[in-house]
Amino acid sequence: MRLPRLLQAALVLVGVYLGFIVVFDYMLEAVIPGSLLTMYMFFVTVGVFMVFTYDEERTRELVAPIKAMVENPIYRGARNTVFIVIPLLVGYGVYSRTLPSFEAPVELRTIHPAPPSTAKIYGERVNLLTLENPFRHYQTDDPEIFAEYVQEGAAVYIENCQYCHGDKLDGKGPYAEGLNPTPLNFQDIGTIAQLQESYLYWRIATGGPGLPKEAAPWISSMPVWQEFLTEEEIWKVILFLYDYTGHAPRSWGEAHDAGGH
Amino acid sequence: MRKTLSFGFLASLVALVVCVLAGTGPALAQEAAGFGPAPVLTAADYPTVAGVNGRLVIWIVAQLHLWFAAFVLAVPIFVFIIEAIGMRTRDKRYDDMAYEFIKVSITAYSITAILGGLLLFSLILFYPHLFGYLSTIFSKSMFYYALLFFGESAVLYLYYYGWHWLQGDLRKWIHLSLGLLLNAIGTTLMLLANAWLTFMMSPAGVDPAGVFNGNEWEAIHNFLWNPINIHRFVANIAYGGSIVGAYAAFKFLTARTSQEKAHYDWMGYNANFIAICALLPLPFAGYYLAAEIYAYSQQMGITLMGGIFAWLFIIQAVLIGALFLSANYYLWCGMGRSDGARRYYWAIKYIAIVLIGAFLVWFTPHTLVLTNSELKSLGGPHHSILGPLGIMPAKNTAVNLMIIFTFLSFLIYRRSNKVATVSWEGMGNTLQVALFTAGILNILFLGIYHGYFTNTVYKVAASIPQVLTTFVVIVVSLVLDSFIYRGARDVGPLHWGRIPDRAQYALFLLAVAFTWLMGLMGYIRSGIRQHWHVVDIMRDNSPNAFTPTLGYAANVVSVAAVIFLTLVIFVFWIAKVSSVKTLPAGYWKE
Amino acid sequence: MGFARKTLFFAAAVAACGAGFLVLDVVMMNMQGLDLIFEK
Ligand code: HEC
Repeated sequence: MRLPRLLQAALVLVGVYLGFIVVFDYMLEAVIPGSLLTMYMFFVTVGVFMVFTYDEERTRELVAPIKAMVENPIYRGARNTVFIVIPLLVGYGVYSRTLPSFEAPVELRTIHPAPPSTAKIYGERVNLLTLENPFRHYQTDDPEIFAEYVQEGAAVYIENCQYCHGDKLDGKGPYAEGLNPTPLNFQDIGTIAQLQESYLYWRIATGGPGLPKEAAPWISSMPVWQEFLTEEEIWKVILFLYDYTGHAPRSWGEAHDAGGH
Repeated sequence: MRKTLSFGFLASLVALVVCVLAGTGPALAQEAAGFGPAPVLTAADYPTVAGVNGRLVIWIVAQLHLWFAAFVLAVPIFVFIIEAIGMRTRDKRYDDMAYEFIKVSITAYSITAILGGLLLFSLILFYPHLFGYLSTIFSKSMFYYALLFFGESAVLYLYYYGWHWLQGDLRKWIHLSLGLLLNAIGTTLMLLANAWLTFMMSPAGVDPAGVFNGNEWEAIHNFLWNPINIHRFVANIAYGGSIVGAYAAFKFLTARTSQEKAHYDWMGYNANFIAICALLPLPFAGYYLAAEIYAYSQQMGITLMGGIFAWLFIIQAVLIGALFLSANYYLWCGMGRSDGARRYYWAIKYIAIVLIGAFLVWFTPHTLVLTNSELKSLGGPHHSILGPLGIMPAKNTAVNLMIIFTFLSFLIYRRSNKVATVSWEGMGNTLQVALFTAGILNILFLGIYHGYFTNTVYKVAASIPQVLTTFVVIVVSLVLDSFIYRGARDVGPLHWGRIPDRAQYALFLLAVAFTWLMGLMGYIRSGIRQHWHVVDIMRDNSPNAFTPTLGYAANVVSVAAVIFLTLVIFVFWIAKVSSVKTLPAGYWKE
Repeated sequence: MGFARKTLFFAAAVAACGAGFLVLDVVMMNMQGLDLIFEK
């Protein structure tokens, strides 16, 4: 026996919804954010609607039970129940949404704010568009010296950074739990792998207080490292960050020479 | 004989246009003479007029002008193509449809010009120094622009009013050539206007203080000029198609007779077809533009994609998805026109599953909005599964899949009314499936391998073979299908007009989503200049130089979109009114 | 065609198309033309 189409549609929706929850929250143990799940389900519903209504005959079949319920006197009881239950459900939804809660409001924070074109670092104006890591070229020119620099960078990292960013560079240092926003996870494909070295240099040297306006609210606990480290130490720790995680810095080759900038 | 003659005429016309276009380059690169640096302004240099907010006025007027201009430039492009198809097939329906399209665009044309004038006045009134600076640099091109407008109007009116006059062998060729000329002028106009706005983003031909070196061609041919040109050209066609589609839907829904319904159904189908054809390459033009913005300035690039505007990109992603979904839905609904469509209904749900799945990946944001309890349970803002879906390689893969499956919808639509008669049909179908399978596997491989296991240069580079794969799949399967269905027989006549009203709303959605999308993305494009009139050269020191909140920007764009759509409905209505005749009995003396 | 032959034919076709695409990948990923577009 074939299920009525309305039921089919409802089952698909419920199935997908539960599927998301089971797969993310239980099997993968990484909860799916409520905001995203709402958006996902909205478009899944749109998709189901599309598949169930592109044909006139199928659409009629889909809405037949609804029509029957509204129009056919036999189903009067069911109709009255539905007409009472739905407004009540909506009312409950509105009520629970407007009920004040103690949850802090969510923030649309920008993790990677746009860098300024120049920044004041170590008392000097540097042009971030053209700035390059002075040690990077050893990677091809002299791998041995390069390895040494990476080693020195590692020492800087262990002394200064691992408390927050973690000894595996995964953003899970011993202090991390207490901070919000949490220190960034460099292993993640969405952080340093997306950035140029000059960007890192700027972020490390000027820290949380150096964040531009749009990264507001400014609450990052990242220290201003130009007050504690030398320029060379910062460049070396950057070498280490990329070396350890296996990411390569973002680069555009000679993009700027021809850019007419 | 006559045909060759008119071909010669056409060819020489093309050659002429090319010469003029190429000639402007060197001609503009003339003498340099005492140009000053870009003016340094204070808040007092921005007049308030009648107490209105100058930025808001410019924003809305420029946006409205652009919407209309996009529509008005696009319509002649496909009117030209449709007219040519009509000439080739000698099917008069095409000619009538082309005429109706251009008729709709005539009223829109004058609105475009009015809005252009309004924009010019507003710029001079509210930003006199900026306009002054730009006009010293673009003096010649602005002058030619004004002159070209004359040409555009003249040719347009000749083209439109001469439509029924210029019929028949040679005359039709002359008419078609007028259409070509119209497009050449229209496109040149757009290219010039694009030069001015891209100069504001990626100035060229000036030194760091803004002193112009006198070479106007250099200023026109700045770094972002061509990326914008390509993007706008393709997008205009898709946009024009969607607006005309909305027109057809409007007419379909208000049609009284089944003949009218059939006509407007057919028109809507063609408009939607045009829109889809231009929509398919559009994401790539967009990526190219974004990549060039990044290449020009990392700062602008990150503002664009990673900074505050990133949230608008989520809305953009949702809207683009909505475009794809409504275009597909329209195709599926349209299959009902054929009696043979049922054979393919089974495939639709699988297409839908892939489309929706790819769409979900496509709009998954890079930075998730998390509640505190979710943050705690994840141990930070990074999501190990969803995080990787937030970046480019995943999006590229998703959009390529969306394109391939939209194409598949189109393919089965085309097949729905045909029965192949070749003996190797089964083998041909197997080949088709194999082609799609291999293509999809390759796209997934490129996205996953290069996206997550190589560095950024490869990540970006991998999008090129991905696109090409999509392209190859489309072209090869079209060719293959044309062989499989060579000499095929029709299941029966197509029942134009046999389509649910819902499908017409999909066409409306297409137009509305497109409008909104253009407004939002246009705001972003202009917003990434932040507090600069001309990036790094001329600072915006007006009290309005701040970047507004997302909610405010979205509201402004939405209000502008509503104004635009109201005007468009007016245009549709006027086109309808013009053909209505009232015969009041006893009013006129006999 | 029997089922086995059909499957074989399909597998061969996928392999052939796949090989074609792979060539495309390799060529595109290594072509200097890329630089023209992305690394002007
Ligand atoms: C007190 C804890 C703390 C210490 C110590 C610390 N960081 Fe950070 N770091 C942070 C926080 C918090 C952020 C910003 C997170 C955000 O804005 O979302 C951050 C951000 C960064 C970023 C920006 C990454 C991006 O993707 O934008 C870099 C790079 C960085 N840190 C490097 C370092 C280096 C190198 C050291 C050691 C020299 C260091 N950090 C030490 C807390 C810390």
